[in-house]
Amino acid sequence: MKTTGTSPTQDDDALLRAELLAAFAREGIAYPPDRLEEAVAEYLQLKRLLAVVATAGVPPEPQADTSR
Amino acid sequence: MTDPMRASPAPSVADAARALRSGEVTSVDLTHATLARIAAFDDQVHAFVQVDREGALLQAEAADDLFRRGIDRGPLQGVPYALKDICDAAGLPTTCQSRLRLDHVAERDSAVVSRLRDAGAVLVGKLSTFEFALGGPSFDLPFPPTRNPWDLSRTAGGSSSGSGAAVAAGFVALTVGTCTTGSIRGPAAWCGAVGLKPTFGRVSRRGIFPLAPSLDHCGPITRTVHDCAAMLSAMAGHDPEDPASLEEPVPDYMVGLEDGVAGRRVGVPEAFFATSPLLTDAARSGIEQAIAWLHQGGAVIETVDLPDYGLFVACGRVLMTAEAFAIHRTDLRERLADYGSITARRFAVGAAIGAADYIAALDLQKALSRAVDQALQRVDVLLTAISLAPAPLLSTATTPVVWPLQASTFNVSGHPAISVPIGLDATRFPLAVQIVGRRLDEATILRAARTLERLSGWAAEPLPPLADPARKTTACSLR
Repeated sequence: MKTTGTSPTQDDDALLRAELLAAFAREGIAYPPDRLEEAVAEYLQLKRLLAVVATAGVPPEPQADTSR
Repeated sequence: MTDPMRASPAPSVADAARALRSGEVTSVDLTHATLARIAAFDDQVHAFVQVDREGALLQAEAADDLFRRGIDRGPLQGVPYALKDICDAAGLPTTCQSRLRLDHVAERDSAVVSRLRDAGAVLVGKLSTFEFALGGPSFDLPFPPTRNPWDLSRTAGGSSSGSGAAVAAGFVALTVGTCTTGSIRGPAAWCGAVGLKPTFGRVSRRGIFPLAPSLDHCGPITRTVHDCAAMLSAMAGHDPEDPASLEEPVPDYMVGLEDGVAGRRVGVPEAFFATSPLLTDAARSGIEQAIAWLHQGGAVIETVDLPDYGLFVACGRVLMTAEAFAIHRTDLRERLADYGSITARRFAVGAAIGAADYIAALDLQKALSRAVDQALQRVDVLLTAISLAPAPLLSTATTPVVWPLQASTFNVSGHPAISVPIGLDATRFPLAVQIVGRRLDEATILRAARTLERLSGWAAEPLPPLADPARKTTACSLR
């Protein structure tokens, strides 16, 4: 049981924001705070699409032998 | 009195070619008329970011000189055209509609410009786009967003905004556009123009600023299907400097254009669009009418199944975002403030895409491509939706929106696809459908599009009127 007192949706939003900010930090992108909400909204769309791709069930293409 | 030179919209290639060869007009005449019309009306449309008056007239004089010497390089000789401003033309800026590139002047023609120059076509200027072909329409860029000549309160679509609008406004009959997830067919559909995304690799991308190399295509947006065929014939061909360029020979796409669709099998992937909540009654009726016209032309119509439309959208978006981020990675770190707000947002989120995500999208792309190939083994072409509803109103809002278009599908699969206008809705906004063909079979989709153009009577539809400032009226007929 969650003990933070926040709703699941707020936790999801916070996680999303944290993921995006971590990616920006990794890349050295200083995203303006006053436009961050739009970027988070864009990232939410992207996450949904990434999930669609991940669950599409396409077997990976055969790779070249790298066991040497 | 209205200046007669700017009163008439640009003639089609067929009409211009006849007039040039009969001596009725010269290329210099045509070019002066084009420049006058742009000067008179583009302040309403914002199709152009740069007009090269001096360069255009020099090219026109050269074309006329060729005619005088008995040299005829084909139907495009002496005909004005315009170029999306992510494509290089030597000596002109390629701004990509961005503050990051306002001072960038191309040193060399892009491959398409080189080919069109060899064909004798006359480049009059550079056309408006979304920033780097993605971030728009937006009011925070160096140039204003393009307005739709059919309804100036609406977007012309994008990212080949200026290309579609320049044709609809009658400035030119021929433009070059590019397409990563629908940027040729979207503006063509919403501007009542013909827009063709060729087979991936059919037209070289050398000298075109990339958005997503695994999805980028270059192709024509024109007034008529015949013009489209003429332009593609000149643009297409192998280029060893584009790694994706195909070595297949280029046919003359104007040959057999009037052959019709008798005996052809047309597949309709109804599940793609039939239940979309964005599809208006008018757009649905338009698709049904197009199907009826092809049937009238002797085609056999059947329903086909393709993978879920959402898979194509997801695949295309992930590939585009990841590849665009890679291209802009350094500038996003060092010059984020110089990007428009929409562009910055759409590129920056690519930082969160991992290698496994990207490879999964590449694998999905291969599977989806195979599925479309398989469908096109049973039928000759697909007929499907392109515009589900009219273009949105231009807005200063920068929040993410979903546009009522279905275009990214065949960028993902790489098959040739053409948007062809078929009529107007009750508000006199263009309706269009999309025809898709087998790889390298642009000829068949052009013939099917020509059939629809002929049966719909679209070519006789007047272009939308633009207000003549000299007459101080709100609207006028320009024919």
